[in-house]
Amino acid sequence: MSFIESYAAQLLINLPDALIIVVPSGEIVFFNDSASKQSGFSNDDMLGKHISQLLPESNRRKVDVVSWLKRWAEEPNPEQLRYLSLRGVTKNGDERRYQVRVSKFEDQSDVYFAVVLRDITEEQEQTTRLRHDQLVTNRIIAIGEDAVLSIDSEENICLWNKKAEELFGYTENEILGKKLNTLIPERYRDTHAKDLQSFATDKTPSKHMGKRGEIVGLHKSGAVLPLEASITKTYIDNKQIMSAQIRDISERKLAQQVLQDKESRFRAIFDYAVSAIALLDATGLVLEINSAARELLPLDEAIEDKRLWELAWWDEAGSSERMNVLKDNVAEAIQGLTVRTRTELATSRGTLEIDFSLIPVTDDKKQLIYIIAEARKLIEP
Amino acid sequence: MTKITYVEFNGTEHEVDLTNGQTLMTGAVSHMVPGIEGDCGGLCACATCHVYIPEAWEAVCGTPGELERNILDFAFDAKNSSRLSCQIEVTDELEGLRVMMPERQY
Repeated sequence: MSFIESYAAQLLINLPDALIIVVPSGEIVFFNDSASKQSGFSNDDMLGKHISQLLPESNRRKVDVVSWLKRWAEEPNPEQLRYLSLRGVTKNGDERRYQVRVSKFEDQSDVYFAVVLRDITEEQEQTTRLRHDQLVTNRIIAIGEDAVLSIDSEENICLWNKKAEELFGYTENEILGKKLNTLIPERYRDTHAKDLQSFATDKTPSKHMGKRGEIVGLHKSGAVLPLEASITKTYIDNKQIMSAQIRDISERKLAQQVLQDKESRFRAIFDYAVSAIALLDATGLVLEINSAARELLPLDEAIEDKRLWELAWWDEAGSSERMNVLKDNVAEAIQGLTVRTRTELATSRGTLEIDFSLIPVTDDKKQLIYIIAEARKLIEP
Repeated sequence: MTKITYVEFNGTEHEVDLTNGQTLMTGAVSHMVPGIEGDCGGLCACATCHVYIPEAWEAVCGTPGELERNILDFAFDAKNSSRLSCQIEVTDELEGLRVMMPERQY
């Protein structure tokens, strides 16, 4: 054996890849150190053995290892060799997946197949886990209560979930690849483009949009939608992808308006009533008093954290009788009784003789929630 | 649009509307149907989009070509009804098709 031949033989033994040489019958004639390390089988274990000891046939798959090795040796198919893997076992019985490279060589009339096996078990398991994680994320986005969309660095829409379809009226097929401006009313496009540009270049990875005012979207029908959105930016190959979670707030705005209207109506009644009215909680604590009541109190009298009887109205020089009567009256109201009485109020305008009522207010479960105290000045006969 | 139902090995059903011209594999992947991987992207080179076609639909779906038959050697639990879903194009004739999935692809 020449120096070169001996060096080459040593090189094959020490090759970092697992190299196995088989003859067409499948018998192993060479098994290098990396193949031993990878499989746990020694050179002695494998020499003269059939390749199926290392790459066993399975009753769950039809693949005939030797014929596929021959096929790939004769007609290498890069796609198949990249994506198809062979099942293997180690000496201690562990199942492995191997990516295969195979070449054929002949020595006089003898044919050999040089097989390189790369263990891709962990890689495949990791891919499976990543795919599962991706599936979970995608499913959550798909079923989420908010519209989700992404745009690429050219502002083309590249992700669109079911809720986005409901919100804007475009199906995924209709919208993918379209410009983001499709979803923005014309007169807001310039401002939106500036906002987006500033977000694209600033240091924040995510932000809530609409802080400086309401943001709006454009439905397929032409309707303008009040929206709330959170936006986040990510990069792939140095290209920016922006993704937004968008919520239609028209219902919320409508509900707020209804509430505001109701509040205004009740405020009008409360604040413009001629009677002095105080709203108490179920323990007699003053929650609110109306304008007429405010006028009867000294200017600096605070009502916070006071029971009704602690207000200046019931101040009586040298006696606490009036206050004690009121306390009893409130106790009756707490019991659910409506109290009507005639009393005197010490007001900012002097002592006033009044008709006084305490009316308990209950919720639909008959639980006391408020007491309304109302004082009406006696009309002179 | 053509309605296709993918039935996972555990019985979970995914009913989706697919555009004609795409394949059963791309339809499954784009609709987040688990159990159909399509590693090679439709090159008939990986056997990870393996499905079973009910007998009644065999005539409409056609029979596998030689390459597909060969690649099915690598599919888990391949049967006579096995096909690679990347090799079946969605057409109006497939309306209502139910395809079953094997226990695993790898």
